[in-house]
Amino acid sequence: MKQYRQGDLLFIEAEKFGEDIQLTNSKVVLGSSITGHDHAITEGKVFTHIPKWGDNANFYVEIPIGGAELTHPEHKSIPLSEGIYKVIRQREVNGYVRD
Amino acid sequence: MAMSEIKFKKEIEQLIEKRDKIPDEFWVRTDGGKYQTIWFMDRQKPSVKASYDFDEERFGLTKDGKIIWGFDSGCSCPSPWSSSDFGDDSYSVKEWKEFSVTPENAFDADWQDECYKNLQDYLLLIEENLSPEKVLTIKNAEIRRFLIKRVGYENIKEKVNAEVLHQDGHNELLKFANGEMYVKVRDTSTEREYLLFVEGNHKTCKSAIAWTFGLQENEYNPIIES
Repeated sequence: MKQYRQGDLLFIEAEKFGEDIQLTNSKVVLGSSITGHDHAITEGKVFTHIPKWGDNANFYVEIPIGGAELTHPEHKSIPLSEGIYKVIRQREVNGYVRD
Repeated sequence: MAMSEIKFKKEIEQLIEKRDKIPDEFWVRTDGGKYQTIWFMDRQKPSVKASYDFDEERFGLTKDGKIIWGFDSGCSCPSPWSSSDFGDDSYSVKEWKEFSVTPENAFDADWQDECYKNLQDYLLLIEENLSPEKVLTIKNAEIRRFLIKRVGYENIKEKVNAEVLHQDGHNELLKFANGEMYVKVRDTSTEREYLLFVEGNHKTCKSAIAWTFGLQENEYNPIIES
């Protein structure tokens, strides 16, 4: 499964969605309260997911036919082809994450 | 007024007084550029906005020294404010002296705890003579990154007797005398360097970086990194 990394987010191609996902009304995958910058997709859907044993994804995204770009003001855009991706946010000890 | 509440107020006042020492990069334009703000607490992540009403709470400080707070009318937390207090923009800006109700008595314990911890990180931004050891206690990786640069990465390594276990380009795997393990990583786009606290018995930088994504070394293979 192909992996793409943009800053503190890792996108991994997935065959299916995890359990208990919730669709958001946004194309922003993750925003930052410190920098005010967002990781966002130009097309597709973003779902939240609470990491659990066996599936540590924080989010899922679904990219439509034709693909999309993963964007961020400080990082180069990454092209994503059609499909489902699980998204894992970088963490530290005690559950700290880059913000 | 509880002791913790007094302490909280004192620390906020200290931050307001010395807010000019907070670097520009930490002031975020918010609400259409209306305010420049630092958020002690900001759970308003657009990605979860639709799913969790408790993710609407915000509490912070504006660059001109005013406390700012707000939350969505759907918030389930006990609150002294009604949604109508915020008008259309969902924020209320107050002078600190008018701010009689603090997050200490307005929100749930988890919220207070997280808000208070975040405030401690911002207080370190205005602290003079910050020790290398203190920098490592900073919860927020962006604030820690900024202060590591100010204090000096090599200075920190020396003070905590860090042993370099592995090097890979700009990345370094460190073990401190107290047994803690950190990996220093460089962001390929911004060239910012972060020191991340990792768990486990890693032998390589890649193994430690993979751990930060919950993966084993052989499972972590990004084909594009930006």
